[in-house]
Amino acid sequence: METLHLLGQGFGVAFQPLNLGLALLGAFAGTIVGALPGLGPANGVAILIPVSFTLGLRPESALILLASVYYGAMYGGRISSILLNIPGDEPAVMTTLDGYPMAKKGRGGSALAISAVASFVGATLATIGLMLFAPVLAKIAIRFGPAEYFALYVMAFSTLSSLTGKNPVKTLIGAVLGLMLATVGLDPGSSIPRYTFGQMKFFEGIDFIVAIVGLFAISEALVFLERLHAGEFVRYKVGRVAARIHDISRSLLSMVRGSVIGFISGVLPGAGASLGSFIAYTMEKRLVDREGTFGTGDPRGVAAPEAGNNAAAGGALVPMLTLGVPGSGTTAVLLAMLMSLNITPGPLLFTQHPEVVWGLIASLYLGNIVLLVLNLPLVGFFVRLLSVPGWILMPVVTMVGFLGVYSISHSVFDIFLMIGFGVGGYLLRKLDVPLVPVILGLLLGDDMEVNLRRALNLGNGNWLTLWQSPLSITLWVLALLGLVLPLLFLRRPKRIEEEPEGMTE
Amino acid sequence: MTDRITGVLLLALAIAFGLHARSFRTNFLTDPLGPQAWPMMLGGFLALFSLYLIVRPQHGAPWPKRVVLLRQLVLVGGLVGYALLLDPIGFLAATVLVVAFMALLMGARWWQAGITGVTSSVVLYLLFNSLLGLPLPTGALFGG
Repeated sequence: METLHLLGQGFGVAFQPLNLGLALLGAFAGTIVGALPGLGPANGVAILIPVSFTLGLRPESALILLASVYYGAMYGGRISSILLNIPGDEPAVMTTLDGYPMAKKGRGGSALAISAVASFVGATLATIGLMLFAPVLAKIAIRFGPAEYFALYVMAFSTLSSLTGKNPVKTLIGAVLGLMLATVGLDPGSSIPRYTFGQMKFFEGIDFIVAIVGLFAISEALVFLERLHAGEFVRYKVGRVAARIHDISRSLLSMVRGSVIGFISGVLPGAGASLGSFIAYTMEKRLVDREGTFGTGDPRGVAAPEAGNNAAAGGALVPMLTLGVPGSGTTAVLLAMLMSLNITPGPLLFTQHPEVVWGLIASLYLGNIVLLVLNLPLVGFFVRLLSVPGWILMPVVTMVGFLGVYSISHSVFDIFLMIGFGVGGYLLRKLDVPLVPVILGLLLGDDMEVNLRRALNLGNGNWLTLWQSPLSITLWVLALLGLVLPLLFLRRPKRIEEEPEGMTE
Repeated sequence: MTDRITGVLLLALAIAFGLHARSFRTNFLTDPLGPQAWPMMLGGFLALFSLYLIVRPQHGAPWPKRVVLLRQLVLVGGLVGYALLLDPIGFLAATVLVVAFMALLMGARWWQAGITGVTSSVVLYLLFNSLLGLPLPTGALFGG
């Protein structure tokens, strides 16, 4: 009952004309971002953050805009997977397995329609899950002390290391590099400068947004130059965008199952959408693929992973909002935005800023309906975007990133820093060091250190204090399991490992 | 081999990072850990992970050919140039130049690059300067 009441208030926020407009705009822009090859959701949200700053939006409006972009990008990502066999981001990889064969048989339109419906089912179920589950988790999290938070951060990095990227050690290296970057600036405990090398600019630490735009947008331009040389340009044919009711009703159960799996894996810190769509596909294949049609253009093979990856996007919002620990690259970017607006996600967010949480949830319901409408009749428009040449796309995207950073600080120093991060991000990508943990480390580093020091302070310097409460012991055990279990049970298919993108999600 | 080199470089970074942390001193006792401990722990972890890379390298991905590498360097140079030119010649002129330059680098013909440069510069200017109210530099050359 309380939930309904709060949701009612949320709809009050969502139906304000400005917020309604932003949700529409975000959904539209997000679908474009997702559909354009090479621009994943994290990337798209990152370059739009500064824009939402310049608009001077209130926190709930900014979050509504960017979360709509996020959801929209998850919808849009499937278009190039199905038609071109080029996944826009890692979670969309599984959609290519049956989507592209369908397109080759001339049923691309049908695949697009099914995947739009699957995205809608996945995202809507996940939003319901978010609404029911997040407040419960927030109530548990309110009992977290410094020791529990420290254990939680460790758990986030350990699950991240086992679930993303090819080499767990490289993920850990990325995380440590991010944590190191976070130490730059004035020490939170004693206020002495650390690693600033006398530069006043560094005293406040490294700006998240400068780092994120550099790591994602600039490194993308460098990667693009490389791919261009390899020559990747294809023509495509869509056919009619309509699905037979039979195809949809037959894959409805696959969508529901995919959504549940996707949501759960989205909630796990660090697991994110890639794992969601991967497990959704493999489980569905095991469960219903009796005639061996999966992989040859079975509609259910499109429905399950697509529902899974959209549901995971919603699930990933749960730990971000309740614990301040993002479950994916894009939620990390959203967290960066909230922190820059002086809103600290965590259990208190639900009591102190209910309008942010419930306004967001209500907007996501609305946004999903808009997205379904956008993605059925208007899909032809988005398909045409696939033929926008890279030489228009990449320079413009880079410029929007530049302008965004410049608009925050008006400082050329920040632009140089951003270019530096771009080159660094490119090198890391070449070395197979994923970028998401770097960003997570940069975002969480301060809090991680502060909580560690606070915990030890409370325990008079005794390290045992870190694992004395049942809650913190649970988290440490989960962290350990997160590190060990996937190594034993989860063998990823070769396909995923061959994909060059390990960063956008 | 790439992994080994990376491991060595990261190990050096870890050691330098950890050693530098020793210079963070405070006269008063803030908390049991102080400003030094956390960075030193991070340095320790990075050292550990980089040793793993040195002992068990696996990376074999190809690095870009010389042509591509050159283009990437030119691109970075162009971006740096843009940052330097922004204040002197103003947003409009600098953006036309850098967008056209990037487009050429990415395979456009010269007239395509020109049109892209001019269009995107004007559209972005109108969008940011006029619509979003973000003042962009007009450039010292033009009396800005």
